[in-house]
Amino acid sequence: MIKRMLKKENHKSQMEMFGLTLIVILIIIGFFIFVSFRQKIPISDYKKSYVADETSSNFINSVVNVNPIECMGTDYTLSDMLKFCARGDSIDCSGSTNPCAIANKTLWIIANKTLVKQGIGFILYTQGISWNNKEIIIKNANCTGREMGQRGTIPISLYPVPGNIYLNLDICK
Amino acid sequence: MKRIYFKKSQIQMAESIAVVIIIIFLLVIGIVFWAGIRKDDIKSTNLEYQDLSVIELAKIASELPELRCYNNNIVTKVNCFDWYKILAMNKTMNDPILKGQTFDYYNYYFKNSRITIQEVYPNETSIVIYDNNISKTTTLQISIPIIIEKNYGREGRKSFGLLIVEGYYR
Repeated sequence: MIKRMLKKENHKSQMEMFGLTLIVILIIIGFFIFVSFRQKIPISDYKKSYVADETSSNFINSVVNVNPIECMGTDYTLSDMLKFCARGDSIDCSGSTNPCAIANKTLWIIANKTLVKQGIGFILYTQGISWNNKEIIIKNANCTGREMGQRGTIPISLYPVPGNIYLNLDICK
Repeated sequence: MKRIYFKKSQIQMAESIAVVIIIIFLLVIGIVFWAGIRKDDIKSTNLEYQDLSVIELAKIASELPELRCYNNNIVTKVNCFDWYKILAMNKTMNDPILKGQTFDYYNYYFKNSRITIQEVYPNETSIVIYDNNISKTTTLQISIPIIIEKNYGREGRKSFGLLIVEGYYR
């Protein structure tokens, strides 16, 4: 009788041991799964960040110095076009006398051949211009809810008229 | 018929061996698992380094004094490249006599890469100023917007362009 009871108790303790081992194994497997998921965290994309942060300022600084094709015989730059547009001046360039239209067209062509071609999401816009009661805005892809890179901005003086206008570029990451 | 009897110590020995085998088995699984994770980790670190090295190349290329615009020995515009200096560099790189020496000099800075200057507005032209000609590898590319100045007299015509830096990686 006692022998049988001892045997039963022994069996019970074996089951307990087995259960304990199972728990330990499950914890170890869980730990490995946790570690593997931790490792799957996306790596920092330096190139993407660099493009979003640096391209905007490089683009803005370069584009304002470009001579529009319509004004080949003159020294007018895109910066001048935006300035004349804000002041409401007209210009004497082949093809157009409207500086706003020339600025808009030049910005659109350059953005299309560079940023759009590279598949970059962006908003290129002016502040302080009233072209048909609107600012110049060129955009590609929907940047809503996406993280933005550092804004590229350049002030353009309206001298001799007081004040500045701005050309801005926001690139989404 | 002969009956086989196991001694208690033999059973305990078998148990110990089983435990050791299970522990070794778990350890091996753990090591394999860990090695797999480390492999992914090394791969991603490698990618990060490749990104950083292309960025470094782009920085070097965009600051090349051989190509930049100067006005009375002063850099007056950010990211401005002189068209005639670009042409001169391209010519030197392809000159049969100077080619080797020039390539060796720039190879120290540009390593396994290709540097191209592309005019996008108003004309569309492209000039390769450095190429290590490695075709079997993948490339990482960075394009930097630049001004390309063409001086025809006192005032130059300014075009919009891209400085394209491509790094070759295995």
